[in-house]
Amino acid sequence: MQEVDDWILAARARNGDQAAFTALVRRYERPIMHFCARMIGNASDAEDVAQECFLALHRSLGRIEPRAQFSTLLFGIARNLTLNHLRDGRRRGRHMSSPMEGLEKEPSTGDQPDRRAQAAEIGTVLIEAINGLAPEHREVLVLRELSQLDYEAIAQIVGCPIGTVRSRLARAREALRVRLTEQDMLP
Amino acid sequence: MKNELGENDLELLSACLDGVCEDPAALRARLNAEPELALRLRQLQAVRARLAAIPAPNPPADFAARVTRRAFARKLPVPGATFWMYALPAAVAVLLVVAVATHRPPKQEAAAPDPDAWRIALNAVAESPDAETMAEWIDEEPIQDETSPGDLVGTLADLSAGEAGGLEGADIGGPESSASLIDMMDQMNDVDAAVLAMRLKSGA
Repeated sequence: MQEVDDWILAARARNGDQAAFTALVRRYERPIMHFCARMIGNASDAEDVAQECFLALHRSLGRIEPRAQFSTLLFGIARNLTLNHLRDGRRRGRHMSSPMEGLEKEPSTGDQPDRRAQAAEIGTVLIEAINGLAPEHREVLVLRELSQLDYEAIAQIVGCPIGTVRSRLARAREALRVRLTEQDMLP
Repeated sequence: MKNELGENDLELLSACLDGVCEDPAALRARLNAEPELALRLRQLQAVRARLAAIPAPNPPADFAARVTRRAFARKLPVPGATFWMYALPAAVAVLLVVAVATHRPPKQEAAAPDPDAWRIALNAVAESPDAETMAEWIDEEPIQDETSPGDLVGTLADLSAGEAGGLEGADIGGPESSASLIDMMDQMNDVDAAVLAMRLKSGA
């Protein structure tokens, strides 16, 4: 069965169709939640921000026009909310919680406890490294590596030229490489 | 070896990783010729693989239902026609309340002191009877306790002692001297002049 277009669901939701809105949320809840979690660094705050993202979408249904991709619009809302959250957190002096807090367990890598422990350790170092990136580098890395968006969509979401996206992405990747190399976690 | 690559090479490798390398053949040639570049690319690929393996938090099963409930629990924006049905009378009511609250009955303006009062008073002095006429009056009807021109000089001197100055000993005893009196009073301030005028009036 062919999926109903995002914008059609949005139009139905605007006219009060709750089922259409629920379908939209289901379609994007995971990528938005992942994005928020990687940007914010802790799962419980990420869920709140993801929820706020969909509520903001609902509030703006009457104003938005189907000019861009729906996902670009939604990630744009999520991006603004996560940046606000990070800014507020800094103002309140709140620190990020443990990098792995609230995350699901590492996918099973067989029955080798050593390998599982090593993968968890690498994951912790990587998340700490991501949290240590400047927000403008972190967002392009997360949007590319975790949300799998292309350069053009990322440029639209963060509001900068594609060339800037390329250079920020290269720097973010290099920072992670350096961090893992320092920990002898790379070849 | 690890930090020898420049920004351009980093961007080149990053773009290659995403499959958007502009000149793949040239990059392949460089990778064959430069082992450091090849190692860096392998490391970046490993970083990418490790990033993909990081566990991600999933939303709770009832996330969508909860969000939908919250979204539709709020009042939806009122559509155009209905909006004006309520907004217009509300706006009129607010305007009325503001108008009533800020309305004040017009005040009757207090009569401002007439700046020319002292001139009028002096005119009265100028028109006052001369010495001869007064003498006739005295003959006809002796006046007790009446202010004489001489007393007036004293009054003027008293009043002007502070600020106007120079009135003491001035010859302002008769109506013909009213012009010089006006000149001198010009030097006085408005209050003193008004007081003087009133005293002149009451003494006349």
